[in-house]
Amino acid sequence: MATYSLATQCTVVTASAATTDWKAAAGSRPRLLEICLINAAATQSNYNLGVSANTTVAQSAPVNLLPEDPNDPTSQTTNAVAWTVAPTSPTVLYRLMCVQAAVGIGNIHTFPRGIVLPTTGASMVLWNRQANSANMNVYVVIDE
Amino acid sequence: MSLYSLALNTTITTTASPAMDWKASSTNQPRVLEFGVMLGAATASTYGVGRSANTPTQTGATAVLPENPGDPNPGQTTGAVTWSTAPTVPSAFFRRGSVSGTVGAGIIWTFPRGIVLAAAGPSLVLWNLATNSANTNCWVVVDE
Repeated sequence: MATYSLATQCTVVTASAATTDWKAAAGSRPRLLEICLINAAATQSNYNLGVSANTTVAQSAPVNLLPEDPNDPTSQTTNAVAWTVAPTSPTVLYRLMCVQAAVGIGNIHTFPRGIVLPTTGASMVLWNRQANSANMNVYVVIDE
Repeated sequence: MSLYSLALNTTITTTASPAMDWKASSTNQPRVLEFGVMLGAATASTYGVGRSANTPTQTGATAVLPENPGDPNPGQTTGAVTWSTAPTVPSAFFRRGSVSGTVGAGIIWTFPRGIVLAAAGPSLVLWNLATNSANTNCWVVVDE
């Protein structure tokens, strides 16, 4: 197992829409160990974290997570903030997250044993439960 | 393996510029276990942490301090806030974070397994993603 992480800037403000997601490659079973949100705009924000209801998610310009050890191979997990087929709303949630309307406010959620990302073609999605911040820093740590 | 740490103060405010960096010597691959940023001026600031795209050359480099005086002194990892060849922007960031415009506001990122710095390779750079505080306290803890 190797550890990977990646930060991204989320700018999707639309309510009831995906803001970012993480998708496993076929044959890979990465584990989500940590997710963090830090607000960079003074907009109160509410998010859901769960597995997308659809299994045909197609990311646009996916970014591979970064190995924390440069001797490890390229990550098979990818992150995106745009899609040709967007994730749809999770039906059951691992976490509900609320962030106060102030720059620098955030959440860190840790999963010591890791939430295994779906391998069905769905993705782990951070979902806007309302009209959210136009500038939210988000990072994840995974084991794969 | 021994623990080392070092704090530096950066005064670089320019957006899209390095604020400080940490670099391994040519003979070791230290693991960064913790990276802290704390404002000394009331300027809301946004930072990224990633591997520099180039191999920078530090000026006035300061070696990390052993946390145990029985360990070799100085450490081999060095920090800097000035360069003859400055770090260039990482292709992606491990972490992004925003800090409210309040003295004492800050972020402590921890990496339980350590982000490995390549020997003599790219540095781990704190990158200004906005026009940032003119007085920022930073520290790292490394295992080397």
